[in-house]
Amino acid sequence: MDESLIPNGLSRRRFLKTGAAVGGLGLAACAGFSSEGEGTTGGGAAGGAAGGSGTPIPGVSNKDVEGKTNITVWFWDAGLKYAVTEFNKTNKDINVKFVKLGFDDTHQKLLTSLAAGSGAPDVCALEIGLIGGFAAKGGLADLKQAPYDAGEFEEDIVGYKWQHGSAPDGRLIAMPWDIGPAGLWYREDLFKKAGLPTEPEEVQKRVEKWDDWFQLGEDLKKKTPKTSLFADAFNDVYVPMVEQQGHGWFEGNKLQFVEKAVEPLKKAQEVRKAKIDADIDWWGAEWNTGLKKDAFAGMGIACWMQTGLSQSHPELIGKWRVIKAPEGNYNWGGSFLSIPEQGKNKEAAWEFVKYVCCTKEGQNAIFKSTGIFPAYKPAWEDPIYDQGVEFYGGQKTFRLWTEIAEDIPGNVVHPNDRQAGDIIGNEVTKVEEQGKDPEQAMKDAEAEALKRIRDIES
Amino acid sequence: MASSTLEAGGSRRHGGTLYEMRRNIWAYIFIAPFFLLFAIFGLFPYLYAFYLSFVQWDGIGGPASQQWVGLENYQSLFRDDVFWKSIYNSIWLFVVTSLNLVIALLLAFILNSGLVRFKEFYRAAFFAPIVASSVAIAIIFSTLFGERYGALNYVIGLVGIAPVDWLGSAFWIKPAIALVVIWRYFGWNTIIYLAGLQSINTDLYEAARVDGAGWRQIFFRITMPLMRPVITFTVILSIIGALQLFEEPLLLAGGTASTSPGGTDRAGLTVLVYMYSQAFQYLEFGYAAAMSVALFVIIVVFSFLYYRFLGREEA
Amino acid sequence: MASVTSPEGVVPRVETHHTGAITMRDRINSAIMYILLTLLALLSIYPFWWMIVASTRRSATILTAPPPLLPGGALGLNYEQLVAQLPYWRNTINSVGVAGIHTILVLFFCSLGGYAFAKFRFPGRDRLFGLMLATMMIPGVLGIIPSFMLMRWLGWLEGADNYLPLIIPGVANAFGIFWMRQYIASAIPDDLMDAARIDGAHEFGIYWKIVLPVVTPALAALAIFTFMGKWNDFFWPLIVLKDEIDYTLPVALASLPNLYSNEIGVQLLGATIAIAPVMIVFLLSARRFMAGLTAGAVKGS
Repeated sequence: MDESLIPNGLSRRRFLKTGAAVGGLGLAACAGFSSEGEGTTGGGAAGGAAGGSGTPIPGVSNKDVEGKTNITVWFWDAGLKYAVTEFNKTNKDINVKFVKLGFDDTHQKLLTSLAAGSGAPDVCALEIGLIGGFAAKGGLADLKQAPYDAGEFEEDIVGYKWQHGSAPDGRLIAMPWDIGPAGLWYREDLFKKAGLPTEPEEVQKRVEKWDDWFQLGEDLKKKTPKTSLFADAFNDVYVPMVEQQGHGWFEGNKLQFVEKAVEPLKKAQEVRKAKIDADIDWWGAEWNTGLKKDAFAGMGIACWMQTGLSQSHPELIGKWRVIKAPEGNYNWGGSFLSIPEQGKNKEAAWEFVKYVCCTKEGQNAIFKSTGIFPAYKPAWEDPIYDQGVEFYGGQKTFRLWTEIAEDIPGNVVHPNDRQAGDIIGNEVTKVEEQGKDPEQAMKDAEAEALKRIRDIES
Repeated sequence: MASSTLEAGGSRRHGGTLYEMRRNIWAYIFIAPFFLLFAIFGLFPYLYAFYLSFVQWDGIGGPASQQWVGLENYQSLFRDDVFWKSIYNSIWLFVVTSLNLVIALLLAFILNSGLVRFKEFYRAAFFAPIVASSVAIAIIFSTLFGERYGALNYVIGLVGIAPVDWLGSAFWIKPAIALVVIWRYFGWNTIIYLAGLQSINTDLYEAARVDGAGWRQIFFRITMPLMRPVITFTVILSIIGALQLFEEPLLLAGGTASTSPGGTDRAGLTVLVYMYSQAFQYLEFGYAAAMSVALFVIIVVFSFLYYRFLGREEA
Repeated sequence: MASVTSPEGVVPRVETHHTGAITMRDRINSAIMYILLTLLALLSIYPFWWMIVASTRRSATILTAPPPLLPGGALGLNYEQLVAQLPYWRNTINSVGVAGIHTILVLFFCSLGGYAFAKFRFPGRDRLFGLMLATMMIPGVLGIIPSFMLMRWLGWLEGADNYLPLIIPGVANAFGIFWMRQYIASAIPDDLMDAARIDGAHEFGIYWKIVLPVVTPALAALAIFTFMGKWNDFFWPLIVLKDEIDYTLPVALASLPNLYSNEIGVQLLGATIAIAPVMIVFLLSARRFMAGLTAGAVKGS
């Protein structure tokens, strides 16, 4: 009956699914942002950035404040509470109650509430990997319409991110909040050991094409045979090369499997065959151990990786460097704030959404405490973005992330993104594990998708 | 415990159904809570889910956005090769994991036989997997099955076997899931059997021992027949549980950026994982509902077959 | 040769040989049995031990291969963070309350129903029993949405009533009744009740005074599984509960990880402390499980 078969820890975000369930991203609780040097204390007293500080949860202590409009917001990172506290302090009419949920749980609970016709919060966060399904009609308010008129912020939001929040029919179903500009990371110390260039400028110059990056991997392995350049060709090569072409598997209603994935798969397969990657799956204990044992010297990942790594591997702080991915920038991850149609206090909800997503103070308060990177461009004017970051040995990576973010192709989300992703994922596993021909695999994936998903074409 | 069936004929002899009903009024009162609660809390959700199997619905738009499609969901379901594959996977896992019933019955018998000292310790130990949290299980087993640094590959490496990609290969994923399931639930069944064994009069054992019976004979001649109702219970529960495996396959083969639920070639995709994906991830609630109806029928058929041929409580 | 022909020589020798072989074999068998049992026990306990170890460590030293075997020094820090991030003890009380009340109700209603199905011969019994079993076979996932609507109609989503959706549905469930019925069917002879009826005992009295005491091993097993099931229940409380202060433990613990960082040690500490009462309940009920002698005695009498 109600005895649910769905236990704890099951469903996690799409790309982190294994990671989180397996405790992979399992890195650290209070994510001290190490540009301030907190991370170096090594997990110990790393400050209360994400909730370790003992401050009471705002939602609990501020319940039922008299004379104010109470609204509820669901999100999966304690970092939001700094913005909530700040907002409640300055806003005279609205009191926000923050309910923290697990990542995937936030989406499940919202979906169930929408389906049942009640129970949704006033504001709910969504993540890029899961937002697609919510693009279906009737659940979330179109923020381009009155009273929101979010259109006025379009210029201030990173271009591709604005598109990520938009449905195919032009509605803006969620306000862009944070982004995941990504690049190629490498370990300066391991590069030095192998006699490779170590300065980001030099490395960047050498890596103009993906093949240059792989060549670097071969050189590295020649000098230090126990160290590969990255862990898993399918996570470190295939995913970036796909995302470089813009997120998602649809252009309008046209499937893009063959167009987008065949080349990346061929590359990943080649790299695997040439033993350039370490062939270690991401996120779990294997990956963690491999990192400790210098089994790989780099990775293709987004800015947010800093937060976790500075806690889980403080000994590596200062040793990381980042360059832009060759042949185009890409994004990995990022979230939005949505306003469900069910809500009774939509205007108050919008006030809060605006504060978090479209003010410098709101955005930077969260950025400084958790590393959630703003999609709101004016926030980048803060001096912190031009500082050297200790985590990256003083490299000015925050500015680098903003440059990358300005130059990423966009794509609107599609309601069937998730299903398409699973269908293609199934064929990708065959390429990886069974050596299936990428072209054939993608053709099969398209055939399957056409069979299963309504109203699409190849 | 003979004659649990064919009651109707027997009761009429005493003077009509109505009389029998009145005579057994307390029995109806005793079972009433279940049916009452079911009517309140169960009937509506189940009927609603059944109704959903005839609509197309993404859930997002609320109940108003449901569209009647008749039998379309069922028609697609029968043509869906992934659905049939998930049925195959689930049945495979059911057959292999039923091994845990055998292990549990033997363990319970041994612990109950009086041959073993420290049986309280063993019993408590076998209970431990039941209380281990999913997070712990996920981490422990993914570490154990790790291709490069995993303990399992280390052990087989000692005897010269090349490392196996337990969770990545289509061949090994099902055995890996089965192993976790057996590990997790044999203690559960051991406890059920232990409780069941308490109802057997120990005098029977002693009498059999005096008559010169060995433990094997005691097990097959006394324990097994007398435990039949309890064994039936565990088998039916296993059918229901194994055909609805969800947590373990998701923990071991849940899917990542470049994979899909069920792992390579969907070799570890169970019906329930597939159904859950259809409903809560692909937003095909109607299709998922049709799937749950089909799964219900399959479970009923399996249970019925077992009961019909093996589970009867004859003397 | 001589020994074969001599009866005195043969018989004792065969006898000694015979008994000697049995003892040897017995010893070997028993040694093998202990080794296997102990191995199984270690495999079973290991994850539990691992949870304790992990509770005292930070993530970086938990996620390693080979996994850590000994506790680390971060217990205090983990605990500090646990209680800072969650109303942890309140969540624990919620869980104990919900699971405890639910379990007591289940024991009562399910033993009652199981008894009726096992020992009464009433018209429609087999059909009703089959119907009940069938309800157990319906996959429950999709029932979540209509169940949630139902709770709203009942008004059970507000205030203190918020716990009712967790406690009430399922207090008379098919699993429990099935189990009690199977157990009672094999544990209680019919003449026991017939005797009581002849003495003029009330039907409820028979259940309460005669049936219940005999079926304690089954009740203990049912209690453990019901309690554990409710204790671990996740998806339904996640959907129904609205406030952190009202969360049950699994929901609270699942809300711990942050987006890009997750201290597993804190989460596992929460889970480990939470398991303690379950283990205690289990150990306390040990005698109930092994109460077989009394049950058997009743049957023999």
